[in-house]
Amino acid sequence: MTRRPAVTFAIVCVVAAGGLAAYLLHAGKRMHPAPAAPSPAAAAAPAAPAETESTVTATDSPPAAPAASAAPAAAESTPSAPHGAVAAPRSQRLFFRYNGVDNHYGRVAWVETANLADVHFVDSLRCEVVHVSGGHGICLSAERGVFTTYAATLFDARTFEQRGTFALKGIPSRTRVSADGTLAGLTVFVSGHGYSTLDFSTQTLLIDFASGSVLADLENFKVTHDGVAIDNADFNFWGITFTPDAKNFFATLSTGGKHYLVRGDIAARSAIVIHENVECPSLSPDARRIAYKKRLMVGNRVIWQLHVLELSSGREIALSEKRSIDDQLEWLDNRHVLYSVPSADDGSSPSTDVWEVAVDARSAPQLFLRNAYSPATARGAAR
Amino acid sequence: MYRIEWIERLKLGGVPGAPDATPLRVSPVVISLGFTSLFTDISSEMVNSLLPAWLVLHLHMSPMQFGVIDGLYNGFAIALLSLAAGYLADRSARQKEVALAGYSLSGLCKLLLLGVGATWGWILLVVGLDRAGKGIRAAPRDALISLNTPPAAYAMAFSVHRAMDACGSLLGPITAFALLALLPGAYDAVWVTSFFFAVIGVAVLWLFVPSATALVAAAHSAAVTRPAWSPWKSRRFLALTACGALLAGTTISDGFLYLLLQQKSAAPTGFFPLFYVVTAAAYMLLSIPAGRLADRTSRSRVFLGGYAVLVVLYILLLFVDRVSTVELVGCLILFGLFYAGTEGILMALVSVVIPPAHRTSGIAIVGTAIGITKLLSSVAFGALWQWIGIRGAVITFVLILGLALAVSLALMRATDNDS
Repeated sequence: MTRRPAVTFAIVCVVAAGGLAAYLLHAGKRMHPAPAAPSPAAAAAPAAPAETESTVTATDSPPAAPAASAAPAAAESTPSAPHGAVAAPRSQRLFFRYNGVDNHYGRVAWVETANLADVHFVDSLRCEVVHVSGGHGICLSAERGVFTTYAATLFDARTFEQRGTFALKGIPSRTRVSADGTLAGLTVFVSGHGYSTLDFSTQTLLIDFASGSVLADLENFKVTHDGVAIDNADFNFWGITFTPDAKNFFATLSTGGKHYLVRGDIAARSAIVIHENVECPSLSPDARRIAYKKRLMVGNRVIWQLHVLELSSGREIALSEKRSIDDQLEWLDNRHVLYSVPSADDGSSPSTDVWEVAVDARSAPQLFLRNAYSPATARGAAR
Repeated sequence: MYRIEWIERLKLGGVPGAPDATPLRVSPVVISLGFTSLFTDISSEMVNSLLPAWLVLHLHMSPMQFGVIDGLYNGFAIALLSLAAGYLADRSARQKEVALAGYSLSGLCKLLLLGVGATWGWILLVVGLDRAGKGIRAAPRDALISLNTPPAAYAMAFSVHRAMDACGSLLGPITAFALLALLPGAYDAVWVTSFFFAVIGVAVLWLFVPSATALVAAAHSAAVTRPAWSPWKSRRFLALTACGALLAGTTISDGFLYLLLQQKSAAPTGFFPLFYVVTAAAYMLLSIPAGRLADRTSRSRVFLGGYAVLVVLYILLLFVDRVSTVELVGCLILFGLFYAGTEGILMALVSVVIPPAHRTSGIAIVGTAIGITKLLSSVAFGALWQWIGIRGAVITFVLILGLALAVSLALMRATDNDS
C-alpha cells in the first residue's frame, strides 16, 4: 500500500523532469547557435545579428496601420520635404539599445542616420534604457543576481568613458538627457514584493552631470493646478523631457486617476499642470510641440495613441500610427518622431524595432531601424 | 501505520492532549504537506521575483497602465472565495481535494504565463487566478495539518510546515537566477521550470497525503458529547479570531518596516531585497524552536510574545536614528522571530478549538478576518501617513498595536479555560 504512491510519484517525477529537460534543452539550443531563427514571428530579425536593415527593405506593413497601401517607397520618409532648409538631411548620430537576440543583446549601439545599415556597438555599455544628448549619455542598467539590482551610469558620448554611477531603487523605465548635456531625468518603477507584485509606484529623479549625483526627486516639487496647490500621497511622475536651456522640464504626473502634463521649474522646485491626458511627453527640438502617448479606453482595455500637442495653441494632433504604443517618443528632427514597437505581437521575443512617423498626421508610420530600442538623437554631440 | 495508530487513539477516546511524555513527533503527512508547500513556493517565488522586471524590461510595458491595482477589491474577492472553499471542504470532508484544486490552479497559471504575451488583461487574469488558487488552498491545507496531528503537537506541526514553506520561498529566487544565468533572457524556461516544481508539489499532495474523510469521521464518532447541531463557534474561537484580526490589523505592512530600516541604515539601495531574504531565513530557522516552545509552555504566550517582539522592534526603530549593519541584521532576525512566533502558532491555537468537522471553515474564517483587517489597515495607514506624516502614522499604529496586545491578552486569559 505504501509502495504504490511511491512508484507513481517516481513516474510523475521522471516524466516531469524529462519534459523539463527537453524544454530547457530546446531553450538552450535556441539561445546558442545564432543563425537559427528562434521564433517564427521574428524570423527576419535575428538572422543576421550585426547587420541592421534600413527601412526600405522592410515590406511587412504594421498590422493596424491605416494607410497600409502607402507602402514605404523611398528611403527617406518625408513625403514632400516642405521646408527642409533648416534640417537639411545632415547626418546625425543616433544611439540606441541593440535589442536583437544574439551576443550583442542589450549593448548600446549607434548609427549615422545617413547610413543606418552600419551599426557600431559600444562594448563597454549594456543598458536597459539609454539616452544621449549634448555630448553626455546616461545608461540605466540591470545587474542580474538572485535579486536583480539596478544602476544608472553617466558617460561621455564620444569616448564612452564612465563619469559616475549610482544605484537605482527600481526597474528602469525612461531616461532623457537635456540638449546641453548638463542634466538627465530618469524614471524607475518601484514594486513591492510577494503577493502585491503588480503594485507599482514610480520614482522620477533629476540628475546633475557636473556632480554625477541626484539633483532632485520630483516627489518633492510643489505642484499647482489652476493656481491651487495639489498634494496627494498618490503622486507618480514619469517621463521627463527638458527644455533646450535645461531650466525647465515637462513630465507626466499621475494622481487621482488623472494623467497631467506638468511644466516644471527646476530652480524653484515647482511645477504647474498645463494639460490633461498626456503621458511620456517629449519636447521637439524647436520647443514648440510635445509628442506624447494619449491614454484611451477601448472596451476595458487601455491603449495608447500617439499625439502631438502644440504648446502655443493647445491643439492636439493625432498621429497616423494606430497601434497602441507604450514608449516615450524621440524627435528625429522637428517633423519626425521615433518610437519602439515589439517585434513580435505576442511577447515571444524581447526584440523591438524602432519606427518613425511624421507629425503631420498624414504619412504612414515606417520601420526605421530593426532590433533597436530606446532611440536617442545625439543633439549637440557633433559640436 | 502512523495514521491508523492515530485514528485508533481517536476511537479509543484519547482525543485531546497526548500525554506529556510522548515525544512530539511530526506526522509524515505534515512533512508531505511541507514538501508540497516547499515546491509550490519555489515555483511561485521563481515567478514573483522575476515578474516585475519581465513586464517592464522584457515586454517593454509600463505597469502604470492600470494605475494603482485595486488591492481592496481583489482582497475581498479572494477572502470570499477562501470562505466558500473552506465550507465546501468541510461539508464533504474533502480538504485534500479542495487543496489539490487550489494548488493545481496556481500551478497551471505558471504555464499560462507562457502564452500571455504583452497583454495586460491576460497578465492580470493570470496573477488573479494564481492568488485565487492561494486563497482556495490555504485553509484546507492547514486543516489537513491539524487533522493529522495530535492536539498537543499542533504548534510543532504548523511550525515545521511553515519552516519548509519559508525554505521554498528562499530557494525560488535562487533557482530563477541560476536558470537565467544559464539561459539569458529565457523567461519561458523559467515559467516551465516553475510549472515543473508546481507539478511536483501537487504530486506530493496527491500521492502522499491521505484524504481526511476517515479522520473527520473518526473524530465525529469520538466527540459524542457534543450534539451535532450545537453551534461550534465557541467563545474561545471568537476571541482568538478577534485577537488575530486585531493584531494583524494594527501591524504595519512588511514593506514599511523594510523602508524604515533602509532609511536608517547605510545599506545601499540595491540591498533592499536582501532584507526579505534575511527575514525569511530567520523565520525558517526560528519557526521550529518557537513551535516546540509553544507546545511545551503556552501557545498564547508565545503568540503574544511574537507581537511583543514586533512592538519592541518598532519602538527601537522610532527612537534610533542610525542602524549599523550588524544592528540591521539583528532587526531583521527579530522580524523573522515575530513571524515564527505568530503565524503558525495562531493556527495551532485556533485548531484546538474547532471541531474536526468544521476545521477548514474555522481556519478560513480566521484567515479571512486577518486578510480583511490587513487590507483595511493598509488603507488606514496610507491615509494616516498622508494626514500626519510617516512618523506620526507609525507612532499611532505602535500605540494601537500595544493596546491591541493588551486587549488580546485579556481576551485570551478570559477564555483560557473555555475550550
